[in-house]
Amino acid sequence: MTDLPFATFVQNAALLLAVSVVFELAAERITPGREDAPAQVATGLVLGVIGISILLTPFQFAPGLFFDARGVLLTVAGLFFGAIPAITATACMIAFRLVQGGGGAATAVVVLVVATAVGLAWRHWRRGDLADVSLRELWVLGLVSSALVLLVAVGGIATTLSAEVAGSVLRLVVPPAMVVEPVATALLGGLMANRLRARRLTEQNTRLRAEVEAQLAEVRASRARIVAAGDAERRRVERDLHDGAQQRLVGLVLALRLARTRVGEDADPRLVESLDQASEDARAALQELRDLARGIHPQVLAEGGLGPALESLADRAPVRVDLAVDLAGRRFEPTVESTAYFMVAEALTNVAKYAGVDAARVRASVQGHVLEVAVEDGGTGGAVATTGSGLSGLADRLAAVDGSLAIESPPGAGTRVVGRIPLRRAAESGTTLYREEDAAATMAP
Amino acid sequence: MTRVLVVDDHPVFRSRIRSLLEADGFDVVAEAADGTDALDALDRVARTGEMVEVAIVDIGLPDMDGFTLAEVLARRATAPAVVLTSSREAVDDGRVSASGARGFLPKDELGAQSIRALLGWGS
Repeated sequence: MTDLPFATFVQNAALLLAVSVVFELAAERITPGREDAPAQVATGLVLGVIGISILLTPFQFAPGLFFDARGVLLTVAGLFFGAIPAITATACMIAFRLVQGGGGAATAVVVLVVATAVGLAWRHWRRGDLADVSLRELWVLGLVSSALVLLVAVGGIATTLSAEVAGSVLRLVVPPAMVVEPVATALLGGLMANRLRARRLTEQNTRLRAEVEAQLAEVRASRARIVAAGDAERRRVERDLHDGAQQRLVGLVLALRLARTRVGEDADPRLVESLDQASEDARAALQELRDLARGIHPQVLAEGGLGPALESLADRAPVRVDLAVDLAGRRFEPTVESTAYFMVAEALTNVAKYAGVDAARVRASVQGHVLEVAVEDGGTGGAVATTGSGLSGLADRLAAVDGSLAIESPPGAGTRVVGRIPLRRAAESGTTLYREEDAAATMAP
Repeated sequence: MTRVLVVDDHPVFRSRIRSLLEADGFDVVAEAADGTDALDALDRVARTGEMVEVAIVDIGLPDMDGFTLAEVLARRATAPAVVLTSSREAVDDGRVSASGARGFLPKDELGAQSIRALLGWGS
């Protein structure tokens, strides 16, 4: 006989903490549904080594009669690691214990089996996610496991050794074991449950991140589609105006001019005046319709591209424009061209409205794989892209084509608005590049 | 009288253009509804021993656009072309000069004076 075995149990409990490290390393390969059999066996062997280490630091109650925290190890292994690792570890420990021999060897084997069986049975019959197991439940598990193990041990000792020894064990070993082992089970199990919760959280975060990224990509694609659809609709409306009302007005102007020519100069002056007035009104209406169509989507943009469209825009701008276009006649996706065009149009309108000057510089060029369009003035500056403003709308529009808008507008030192639009290859853009036949199709008479 | 070929696929426009030009003192010797038809018409006129002095060509024709036809006419040296548009802005100056066309006119500004100005004939 020896002193109370608290120190041994505490030492064993500390050794058990190594199990949580094994669990941390092996968790991915022993997760239900993702089991990797060789990894499970390897994990079981590592657990077996830890178990043998525990067996090597026992409290020797009597020669050949050892007590330690083996039950905690195997119960927790059964619960958290599952059948293959737990049974592998148990087999290792049984083999070692049989080699150790002694009067309690047979009882020890039964104890090892019982501890493992309790853990596996708990795993099998408990409900809910193992990550959510509570310390209380783990403590109860430890209590049940310890009770059964000690019951088997005391019974075995009484049978194989003597009732006297069994009585001593019951008096000296069972009370501290029933205190320490359930607590050790709860603490060790709690560590591993924490690990499971952390992994579940990580997986949820990963899944959420993937979902958010997918949604963000879809939002970006959707925004680009909306802008492209808007542009296509504007082009359609412009074509409808051009092919429909505008043609009728041109026909009307020609008819009125013809009528005016036919009535000659000797006709009733009131008739001549009416025809002249009608002709003037029709031409004014035609001009207004052309301006409207140009504002919706300039025909020259669809037919000639950004360079000619900017030249046309500069000619009609409310301020003098120093234009420098270095695009070498290149064509871009329709959405890119319209975005750059309307950016310049809006910026020139802003110059006329707010800058207090009557001149601006417009630059358009391709820098690497980026279309860069800039509008500068030497006006009052102080422009800010507030929410809902024209500049904010421009920034949104550029963002829809993965572009960006930069505004430099220090008070009193002019404003520089620069739009940058990345130019993608057709295969990357997922959109149809502008084709010559599209241009031809828009050139209705 | 200046001999003119009018090319426009729209019969109403063709008729009105013809009438306007004739009222302004031009002689519309042929009409055509598309580019191929226009080239045939020029050949027919040539066989009669006459010459077309200017072709008034709509920018949008079913088989080729007005500038392409102007290019063909310039290459054949048959007649200078003036291209008609229904919009003031939609023509790239580079394209006009590259085609060999003498210029372009919005349809609503069509008239002897504007055509003569484009051809450099004076009014």
